[in-house]
Amino acid sequence: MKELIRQLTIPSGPPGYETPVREVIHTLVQPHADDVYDDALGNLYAVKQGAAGPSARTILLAAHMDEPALSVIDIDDKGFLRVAPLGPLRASTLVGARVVFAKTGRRGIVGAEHGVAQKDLDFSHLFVDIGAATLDDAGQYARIGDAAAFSYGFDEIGADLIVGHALDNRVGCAVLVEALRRAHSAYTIVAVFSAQQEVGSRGARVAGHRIHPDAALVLDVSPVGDTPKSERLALTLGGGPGIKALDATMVVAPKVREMLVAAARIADVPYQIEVSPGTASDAGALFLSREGIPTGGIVVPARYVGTPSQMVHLRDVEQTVALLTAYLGQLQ
Amino acid sequence: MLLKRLTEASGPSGFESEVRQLIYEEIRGCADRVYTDALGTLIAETNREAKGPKVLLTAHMDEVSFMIVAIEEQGLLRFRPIGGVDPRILVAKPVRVGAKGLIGVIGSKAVHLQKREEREQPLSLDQLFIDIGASSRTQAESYVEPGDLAVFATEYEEIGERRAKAKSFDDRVGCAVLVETIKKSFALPVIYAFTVQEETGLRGAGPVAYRTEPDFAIAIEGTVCLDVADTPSHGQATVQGAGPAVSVVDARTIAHTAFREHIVRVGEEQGIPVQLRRTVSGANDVGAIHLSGTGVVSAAISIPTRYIHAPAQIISLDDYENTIRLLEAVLRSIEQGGFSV
Repeated sequence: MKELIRQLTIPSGPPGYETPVREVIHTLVQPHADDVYDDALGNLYAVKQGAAGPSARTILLAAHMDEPALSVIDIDDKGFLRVAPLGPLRASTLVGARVVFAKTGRRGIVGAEHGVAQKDLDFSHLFVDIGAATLDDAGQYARIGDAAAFSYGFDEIGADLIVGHALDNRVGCAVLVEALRRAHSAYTIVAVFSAQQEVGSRGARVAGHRIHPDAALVLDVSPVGDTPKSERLALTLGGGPGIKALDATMVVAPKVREMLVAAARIADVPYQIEVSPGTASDAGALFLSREGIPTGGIVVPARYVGTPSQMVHLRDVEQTVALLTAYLGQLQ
Repeated sequence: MLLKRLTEASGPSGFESEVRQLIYEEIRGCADRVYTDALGTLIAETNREAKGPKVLLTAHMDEVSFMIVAIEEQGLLRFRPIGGVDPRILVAKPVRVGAKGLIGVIGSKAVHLQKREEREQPLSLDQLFIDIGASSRTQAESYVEPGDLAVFATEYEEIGERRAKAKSFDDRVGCAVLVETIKKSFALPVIYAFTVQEETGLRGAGPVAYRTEPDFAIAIEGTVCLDVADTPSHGQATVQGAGPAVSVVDARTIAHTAFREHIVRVGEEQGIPVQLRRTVSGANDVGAIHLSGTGVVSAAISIPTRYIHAPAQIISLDDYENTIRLLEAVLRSIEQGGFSV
């Protein structure tokens, strides 16, 4: 799993320009899917026909592949770029950040105008330095509308912990790739690597409409409450997969949750209940598709979500795959 | 003059009938089918049987406006905005109230009678009223009732070098572009939708996209233009006179990259000036359209509009005409198979 996550964490995936990570996922899922395609929003779909044949019911599994990024809105005569956020980023946390442009691979550093107090910093004070000397020079590497995401990549702490700027949600993508490989289900599985989640689950909304599944599950990370003076949250790192009860986008029906709890017992893995009123996921958009779709979620606990150094426990990831595989196996 | 007639008509969100009728008269002979949906959007379908991708073009008919909510003892009208209006720009502006278009003026307590704290703060809506020249509540009630609508009373005029000022260029200028375009003929099924309730949250556009299931959609808008004195380049969003502005990102949409790049390329090939809209704020009907059904490849092309959402907005007539040219060129390119996904 570690190597798979590393592979998925390196490529960029700004909202609306997920091409680098989508291409990597496409290659990874191709051998395990009967059909792979994308759509107007940038979602990638991988379909694995159910054992029940053409009459099989359908389950949609969604993991978003995008990450927060910066969008270029202006380039000055000296080649400095002005940027605006795509997704939840705070200007004051970005000074000195290293970024990479998804289209050209050019790296850059976020700088700030002098003389603005930290608390007053907003995006109009920030710029990205890509080492260009003039406007024309800058244009070779970045143009207005191009997007840059963090470039910190992947790191390890000890044997069990991994750290990266995009573990939210490449960990969910890795779980989905692995489950697609392992799963034997009566249901047809449609794995959706969704686009534009960070700007409001736009990809999930059209995916739910297109697939019109009998049930849906989201795979994502969720913040833990186990660090010094942290926000009070139910999850702990290393405590096993979180089964979604509630997030900012939906309340999961008890019946859906209980099916996942039963699957955790079958797989013999510990589980926690995720109650995370401040966390957005694709669940709400899928749940409200068409006439309404029974939707739940499995999350991997993560520390430092919303920063460039998100931390995840590998055992939690393994157990999440086991839980998901067991769940898919017992669907009738 | 089309822009004059369109901008001087009254079209509060949800009450677009005057604008709708005016547009209907203009376009009735130009489509196979013209009809209105449940929300009030005017839809004109052309070349329904033609092969080729189905294209939806939209412009919204509604404008920021006010609803009368109460009549005071002295015959003064209390009001609330419909759509986003900065209360600081309202005092002393003339408005037209109700179906008959009664002239009124937005008033407030005189500045020398305001307490010091009041003077230091911009006037809030609670300190403003519309004065229609009535001397008592009873007198006012014979002209107006709560629920009546008011819009700015600005007249259209051409000013300076190829510029024009009016109210509601957002988005009557887009309506005008569509009216000019529907008079041309394309070997494509093209649907023209004049949408409602954009200013209150893009409510009209979603149902039109759901109903028509287009392959491509383009919204024509009036958008922010902040290129005035003391604004750095990265705060300008668009520049007046620099051509139609193609959206990249706004609060509700990340534009389809290949489609927006195609539009810019068409402009370059045809020698039409085109700029990119350089801000991520604001929204338009594409926010609802692109998420309709299984997702729609969409773009927004906007005419830079200074002092938008205010009584006197300014556009460049060159930008307006170049938008008409660009839209035609883009449709021709689709007609010739020059863009597909």
